[in-house]
Amino acid sequence: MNEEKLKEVIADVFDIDEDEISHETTNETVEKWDSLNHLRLVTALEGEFGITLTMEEINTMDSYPKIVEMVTKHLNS
Amino acid sequence: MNDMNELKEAIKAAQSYDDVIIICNTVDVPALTTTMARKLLRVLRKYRVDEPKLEAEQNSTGSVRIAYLGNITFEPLPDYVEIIAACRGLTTSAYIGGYDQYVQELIDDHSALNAFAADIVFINLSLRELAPELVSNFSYLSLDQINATKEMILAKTVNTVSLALDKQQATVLISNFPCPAHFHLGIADQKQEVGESAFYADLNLEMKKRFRDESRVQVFDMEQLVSNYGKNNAYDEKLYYLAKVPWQEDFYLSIADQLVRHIAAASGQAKKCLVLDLDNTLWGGVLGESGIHGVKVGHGDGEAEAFYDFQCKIRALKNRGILLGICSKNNLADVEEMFAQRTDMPLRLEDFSALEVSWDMKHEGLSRIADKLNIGFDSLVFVDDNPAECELIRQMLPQVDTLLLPNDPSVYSALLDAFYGFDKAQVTSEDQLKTKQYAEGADRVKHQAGFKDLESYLESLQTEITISLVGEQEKMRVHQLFSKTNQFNVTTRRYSMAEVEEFMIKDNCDMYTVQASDRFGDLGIIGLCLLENTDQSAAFIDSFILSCRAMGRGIETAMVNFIKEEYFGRRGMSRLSALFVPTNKNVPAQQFYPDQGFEAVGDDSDEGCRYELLADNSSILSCHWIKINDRNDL
Repeated sequence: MNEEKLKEVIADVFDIDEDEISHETTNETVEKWDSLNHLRLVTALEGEFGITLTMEEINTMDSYPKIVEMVTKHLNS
Repeated sequence: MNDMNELKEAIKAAQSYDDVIIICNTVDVPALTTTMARKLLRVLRKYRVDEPKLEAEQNSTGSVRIAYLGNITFEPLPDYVEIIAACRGLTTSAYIGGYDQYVQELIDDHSALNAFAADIVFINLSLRELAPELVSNFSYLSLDQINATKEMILAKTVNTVSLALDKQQATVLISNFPCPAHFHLGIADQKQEVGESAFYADLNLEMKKRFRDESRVQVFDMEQLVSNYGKNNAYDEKLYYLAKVPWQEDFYLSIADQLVRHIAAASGQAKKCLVLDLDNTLWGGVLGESGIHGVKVGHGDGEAEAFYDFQCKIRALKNRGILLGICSKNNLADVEEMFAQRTDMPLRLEDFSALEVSWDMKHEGLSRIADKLNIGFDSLVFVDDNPAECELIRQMLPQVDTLLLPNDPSVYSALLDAFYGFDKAQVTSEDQLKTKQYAEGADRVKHQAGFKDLESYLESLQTEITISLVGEQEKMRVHQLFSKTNQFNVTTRRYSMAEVEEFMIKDNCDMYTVQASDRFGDLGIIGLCLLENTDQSAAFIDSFILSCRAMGRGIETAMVNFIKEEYFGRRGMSRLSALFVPTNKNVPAQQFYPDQGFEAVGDDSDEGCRYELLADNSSILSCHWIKINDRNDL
């Protein structure tokens, strides 16, 4: 999985620096991670990586490690 | 700018909202991808929020104010609209109504919506919320229930629109209702007295009728938009279940583009005149080379049919009130003869309100057209197949919209369909008579003569040429140039292949080709010069040919400079003689020898005008915008 690209997508949605994203990053630590931007994140991830996330995954995807986990899972399946 | 890396760099450099708008302005909408749009969205959102001048922005007259009302989650549509509008040169600001709050917001005089004072109110009602039984249980509904539902939907639509008209001075866009991609009864739907397909067709038709005479209302044809995009791809069920977001991310660009189309039409910025090139634009091939019956337009040949259909599209524009013009490098007499003889073409000469057929630079022709029709440059659209001509217009007359036609005529018509600068909210019978009336001049907007520097245009083309002696590989093309070129051809001597081969080996003859390229690509071999040594100190220019697609940028001067250097300089000769044989096609070459410093020497023969240049009087003429590549064979 291309983490650089993943960070770029996330950074674009939340308007933060790619360097700010770490395994500590959650929807609590990112100011602009609200429900609307969460959906933007989903469509951006799906579009950029060519994957389809399930509703359950979308609802539980609340941190950077979780995002990595979901995207990796779909890319490998 | 349609390159992702270029765009990223530009975005990084952006410092303000205005910077972002300027970047958008350079983006070609059809080439805009969702990924690019997302990049633009980030900075757009950033500066839109960060800049306190938002208030000032709202008060400025340039910005189109759009209110989005309905029972869906509109985000991210307004952002996409903002981007697409900026790509089309419009700035927009948005008011997004609360979910399903539109009636309350419209009724309340003190609501934020009514304070917003929109220019455009876009209403989109989802039947999933408005008539859930219809969407989920159509096959269980009785005929009476179906009819009652239809009336309910129409009443709701009409009432909402009336309320919006009443409370806002805006143009109201109301979405119609897309027929579902799949029917509850499957293929048996068509056999029902009122099946789903019939229901939606009827509902949308009825809606169109209700608003037909209301000049401030436009039906936003969501049914057509979804169909064109593909019903299987347009929707996103997951996002709808999660957040009432109905559409797929990629589809937003299409919706936004269609919305901007309505906005542009409503703000009355429609273009007034379409100016067309002729060769390889209205017909296939070069009239001056292939002749009236050799160029491709008409029936029985695929390419000819594509040009025929393109002419039909243009003719339809005329019927919409768009003026037509011609700006072509050709002989006027040839063009008149073409239109007189080829009455099988859809377009007639009378269909055009302005004709600029000459060998002048095209920005001069366009300028005269604007003058004659008394319209501004920003009302003109210029269509040409030659990228260098389009670039000339872009640089010299930046207010003119240019459409560059690709190599394949099969896509010409679609390209014109996708260009919506001609859209008007309504076409009147007056529009349809406009071509005749126009000379009288209804519009008094005078164009500002805004010529930029021609030399900087020529420099920007980055023309490079390579001059070589003709070898085996080039001889086919050389023969073709001899036999086909009519316009820039000083003697029009048609040599056979055998003669070409003879020149190649003859000691006292030199035959040079010129290959050219520019920033748009390789033009191939476009020039030819045949010289014969008449004695130790003199040579005669037997033929000098330049293909018409390479005219107007000084390549002929670079060629003559080369000859001067070669014959007077390297070989130490003292005299060049030349001949110009006038034909009714080679007007473009008429002034060639005098322009290059040659002197006329007695108009003696019937053959033509004789010219001469002595080494002592010879000077090199500037054409520094052309780079001359090293030749390895000379």
